Amino acid sequence: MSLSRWHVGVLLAVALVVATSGLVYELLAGTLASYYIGSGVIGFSTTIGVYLFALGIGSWLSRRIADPVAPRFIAVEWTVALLGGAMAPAVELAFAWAEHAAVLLYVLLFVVGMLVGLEIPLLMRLLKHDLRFEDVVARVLAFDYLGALVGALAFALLLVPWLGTTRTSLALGLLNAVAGFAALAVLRAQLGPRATRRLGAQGLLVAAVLVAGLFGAARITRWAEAGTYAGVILWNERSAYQQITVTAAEGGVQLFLNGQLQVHSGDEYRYHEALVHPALALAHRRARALVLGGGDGLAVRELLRDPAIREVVLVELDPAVTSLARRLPALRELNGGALDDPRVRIVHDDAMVWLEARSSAAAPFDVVIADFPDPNDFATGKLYTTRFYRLVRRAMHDRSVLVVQATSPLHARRSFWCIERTIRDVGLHTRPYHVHVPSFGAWGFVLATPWPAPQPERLRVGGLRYLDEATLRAAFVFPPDMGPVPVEPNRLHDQMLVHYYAAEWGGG
Amino acid sequence: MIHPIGRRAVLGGLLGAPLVAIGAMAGCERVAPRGSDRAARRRRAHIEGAIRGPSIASGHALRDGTLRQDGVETTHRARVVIVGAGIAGLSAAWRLRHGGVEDLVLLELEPMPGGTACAGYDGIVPYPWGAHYVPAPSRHDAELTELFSEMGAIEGRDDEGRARVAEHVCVREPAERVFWNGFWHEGLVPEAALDARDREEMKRWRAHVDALVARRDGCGRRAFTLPIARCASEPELLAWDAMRADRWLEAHGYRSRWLRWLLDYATRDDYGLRLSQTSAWAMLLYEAARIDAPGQPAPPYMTWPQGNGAIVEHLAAPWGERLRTGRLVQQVQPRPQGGVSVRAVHVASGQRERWDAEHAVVCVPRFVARRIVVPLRDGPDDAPPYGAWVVANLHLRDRPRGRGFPAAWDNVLVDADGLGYVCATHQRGRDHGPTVLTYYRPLLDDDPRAARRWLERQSWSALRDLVLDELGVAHPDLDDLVERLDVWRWGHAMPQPRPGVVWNAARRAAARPLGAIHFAHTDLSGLALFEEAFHHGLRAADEVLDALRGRSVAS
Ligand SMILES: Cc1cc2nc3c(=O)[nH]c(=O)nc-3n(C[C@H](O)[C@H](O)[C@H](O)COP(=O)(O)OP(=O)(O)OC[C@H]3O[C@@H](n4cnc5c(N)ncnc54)[C@H](O)[C@@H]3O)c2cc1C
Repeated sequence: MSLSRWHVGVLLAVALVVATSGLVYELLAGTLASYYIGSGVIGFSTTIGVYLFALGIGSWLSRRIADPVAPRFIAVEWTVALLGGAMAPAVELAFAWAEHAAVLLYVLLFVVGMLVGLEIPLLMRLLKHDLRFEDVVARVLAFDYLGALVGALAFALLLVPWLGTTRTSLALGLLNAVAGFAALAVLRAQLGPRATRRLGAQGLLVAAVLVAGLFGAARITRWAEAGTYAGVILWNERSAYQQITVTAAEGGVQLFLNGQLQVHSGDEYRYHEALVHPALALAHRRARALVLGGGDGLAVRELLRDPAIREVVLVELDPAVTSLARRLPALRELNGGALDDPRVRIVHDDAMVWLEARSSAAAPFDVVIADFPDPNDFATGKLYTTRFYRLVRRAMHDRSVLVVQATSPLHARRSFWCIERTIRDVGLHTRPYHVHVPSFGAWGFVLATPWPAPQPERLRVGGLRYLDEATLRAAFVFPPDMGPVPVEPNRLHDQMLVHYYAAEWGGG
Repeated sequence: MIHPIGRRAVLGGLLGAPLVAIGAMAGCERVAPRGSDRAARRRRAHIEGAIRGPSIASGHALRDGTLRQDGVETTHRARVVIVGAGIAGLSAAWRLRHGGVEDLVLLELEPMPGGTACAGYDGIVPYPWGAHYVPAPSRHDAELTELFSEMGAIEGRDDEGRARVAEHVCVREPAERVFWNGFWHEGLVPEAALDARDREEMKRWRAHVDALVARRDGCGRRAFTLPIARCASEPELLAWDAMRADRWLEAHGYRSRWLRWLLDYATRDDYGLRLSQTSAWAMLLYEAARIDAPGQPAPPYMTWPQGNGAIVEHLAAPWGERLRTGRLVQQVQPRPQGGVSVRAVHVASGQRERWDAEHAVVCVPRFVARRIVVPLRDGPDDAPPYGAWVVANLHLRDRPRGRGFPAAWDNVLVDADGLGYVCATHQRGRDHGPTVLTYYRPLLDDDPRAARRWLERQSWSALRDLVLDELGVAHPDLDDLVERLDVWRWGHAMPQPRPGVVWNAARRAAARPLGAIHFAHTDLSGLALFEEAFHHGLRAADEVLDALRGRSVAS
C-alpha cells in the first residue's frame, strides 16, 4: 500500500497548508486577544504561549493514536477546519454577547493548537513507509516552517486588510477542509470505500458550514458588532492615542476612531467637499494650505484637486492614522494616495503644541482646515478654544481663510454655535454653513476670515459630486431649528463646549 | 494646589447620591513602604534617579566652618548687593531696576536662581521643584498686576476691574480631580460622597468666608488680605492666630467630614500642616484673602509647566552676569565708614570675594540670616519653625491608566499622606505620550526637627518607594511607566504658621532694617506665599530707594 511520488507530494502540500492555517489561527487569536484586552503585548504573548504549549501537548498525545492513522488524520483535519474556521466568528460573537469571552478564546485556541500539534506527527507516520526517516523529518518540517512564513505574510498583508478577521478565520478553515479532501483522495486506497465515503460526507458537512459562514460573515459580524460596528472589521488597532477601526459594510468602508464614525465612503465626499471648497472659494491666495487633524487624507485629497495648491502641511497627532490611510487599500483608494503626493508634508504632533512651538516668523498659510474629531473630551475640546484659534490666527495672514468642522447644528445646536462664538471671540469674522451628510445628519462648518469676507459664491474646482454653486448658496441658510442660540465661548480653563457637547450627544 | 472651596463644590451635587461609606481619612504616619518587598523592587529596578536638594552640604559646611576656601579675597563694588535670588531677592531687584538702580548684584548659593520656586529643565517639558502656581492677583494689588502684565500673563482688566488672565496661563480645565474609593472624581471632593449635612455645612462655610471677606476694621482695613502687612489687627482676629484651626472649626459648629477634609487638605497643601497644627487665622487667610468682594468667585489660578519657575525666569532675565550663582554668602557686616560689606565664597572653586556696597538686601530665610548678618548673631532666635517637604519628579514614558475622571492638572488622593501630583504637560496642552509628574508631600510631624532628621536619613530608593507606593494605588501601571524619578529633599521648605507664629512681635521686628542692611523673605510673614515674598522684596527695595534718594537729595 505504498504511495506514489505524486501522492507523497500531495501530502507534503497538505503539510504546507496545515502549517499555514495553523499559524494564521495563532495570529488571529493574538489579534483578537489584543483587540479585546487592549494590549498587543499581552494579547500576543499569552496567545503564542498557550498555542505553542498546546502544540506540544498535541504532539505528545499523537503517540496514543493507534493505527490505522489515515482515518484519524482526516478526522483531525475536519475538526481543525471546523474549530479554526469558527474561531474568530465565535469569539467575536461571544465578546459581543457574553461575559468572560476571553475564556472561550483561549479554550478554542488550546484545542485547535492541540489538534494542529497532532497533525504533523500523524502526517509523518503516514509517510514513514514511503520515505526514509531522515527524509520524512526533513521534508515535513521544511514544509511546516515554509507554511509558517506563508501564513504570517499572508495574514498581515492580504488576509486581515482585505478580508477582516471573521472571513480570514472562515476562509482558512475552508482551506484546511480542502487539504483534508486532498489527503482523502490520496489515502482512499488505504481507507477503503466505506470509510472514504463516511469521511467524505463529514468533510462536505464541515465545508458546507464554513461556506455558509463565509456568506453570512457580514451578518455574523453585524450580530457581533451589533452594539458598535455594523460591518466586517477590516482593521482594528489600539494605537498610542486611540482605537482605530475600519469596517466594510453596505458596499462601503467606514473609519471609526474610538468607536465614533469619522468617515463613511458612501458619502464622505459630501463632507469633505463641503469642508474644503468653500474655503478655497474665499481664499485670495491658495498656494499654502494647513490641515489640522484629518489624518485620513480626505481633506488633503480635496485640496490637491485645486491646481493652485503648492504645498500642504498636515498636522496629525496619531502616526497610526496616517500610516493606515497610506497603506490600507480601502482607505488609500478613498484618498487617492493623497498623502504620498510630493506637495504634502506630514507632521505628527498635537496641533495645539505644534502651533504654539511654530515660529511666528514662519511663512503664514493661505488656507487652514481644522478637521478634528468632535469635542467629546477635554483633550479634544482644547482644539476648539479661543486660545487655539488665537494660535491658528498667528499662522494666518490678513487674507487667509480658516474653516472648522463644527459638529451638527441640529443635534448639537449649542455646541455648533459655541464653536462659532469662540472663533468670533478672537476677532475673526465667521460664516457658518451646513450640509446634509446622510451618515452624520445635518453637519456644520464655520468659515472664518480676518476680514469681513463675503459669502463665497464661485467654486474654484469644477466637477464636484456634491457641491455646486446652488448648493453652496443654500448651505449658508439656517432654518429656524438650527439657528443661533445664546452660548458662552469655549476657553481652555472653562471648556463650555465639552459640557454642551456631553449634554447634547450624551443625552444628559 | 490649594483651592478655597469653590462654588461648584457647594452648589453642585444635584446628582449627589446619599453618603457612601467614607473610607478612613488619611492617616499621617509614614507607613513602611510596600515597595520593600522583592517584587516591587524588581518592578522598579529600571527606574533611574537621584536625590536632589538645596546644597545641604555647603549649608552644613557653613554651619560647621569646614568649607574649603583658598586664595586671596577679591574686592568688588556695587551700589546694592542682594543676598539670595529667590522670589524675594528677585522681586527686590525688579523694583530697584524700575527705580533706576541697575548697579546691583545678586549673590545666590545654588547654581540656579529661584529658591523654593526653582524648576527643572532636563525633561521633555520644564517642571517645578517647588512653588507651582499663583492665584490671579486681586484688583488692589497693582504691583503684582504690573509684573504679570509685563510677563504677558495678564491682559488688561475686565469690566469689574479684575485682572484678565491670559488664557494659556489660567489653569486649563480639568483643573483637579480626586481619587477616592478606587476611582478618580471631578473636583476636589467626590460629589457622590457628600450627604445633605456636608452640603449644608459647605454652604454655611461659604457664607462665613464671604462675611470674613467683607469684614473691615475701624480704619477700613480688610480682616484678611495680601500682603498680610495690610491686614486689620483687631484683638479677635489676633486671638484666632493663637488658636488651632480645628478648634476654631469646632467652636463654629463645623463638623462635616468632607469640609474638614477639604480644609485639612488646604492647610497641608499651603502650609505643610494639619488643621490641628495650623493657626486658625492662617487657615482663614487662605480662604478669604484672595476674594475681592463677598459673593465673588475665588480668582483663577495662574500656572506654567515649570510652575513659578516661569516667574523666576522672567525676573532673572535682565541680570545676566550680575546674577552670580554658586556663591555662598558667609558674612554681611556694616562698615564703620557707612555702607555694608558682604563676603561670599564661590562654592565650586573656593574663591573668596568681598562686595562693598551702599546697601545690602538680605533675602535668605531668617535662620540663615541670623548666622550671616553679623549684628544678628548674638540676638535672640527669632526664626519661625520650618517644615520639611519631599518633592519628587517622575519622568514617564506614557500616561498612567486610572479609572474614572480623566487626568487633570492637579491630581489629589483622599487616602494618602502626600498631596498627589501636578502634571507639567497639562498646561502645554500635550495630552499624550511622555510627561513629568511632580509629587508633593509635607512631613507632618509635630516636631519639624524630627522630620528633618528623618528626611536626611532616607535613601533614594526608600523615597522612591514612598512615592510609588502611594501613587500606585491610583495608577497600577505606574512602576512600569516611570523612567526616572528624582527626589528633592527640602529640609527647610517653608515657615510654618503654627498658632502664634504669624502675629508675633519678633516677626514684625525682624523685617525692620539694621542701618544699611534690609531684609526680605516670605518667612518674615510666618508663612510661605509667593505674594508675601514678592511684597517683602518690594518693601525692602523701597527702603533702599528711599535711602538712596534721601542721600542724593542731601548731596
Ligand atoms: C514644595 C514647595 C511648594 C510651594 N508651592 C507654592 C505655591 O504653589 N504657591 C506659592 O505661592 N508658594 C509656594 N511655596 C512657597 C514659595 O516657594 C515661597 O513663598 C517663595 O517662593 C519664597 O521665596 P523667598 O525668596 O522668600 O525664599 P526662598 O525661596 O527660600 O529663597 C531664598 C534664596 O536664598 C538663597 N540662599 C540661602 N542661603 C544663602 C546664602 N548663604 N548665600 C546665598 N544665597 C543663599 C537660597 O538658595 C534661595 O534661592 C512653596 C514652597 C515649597 C517649598
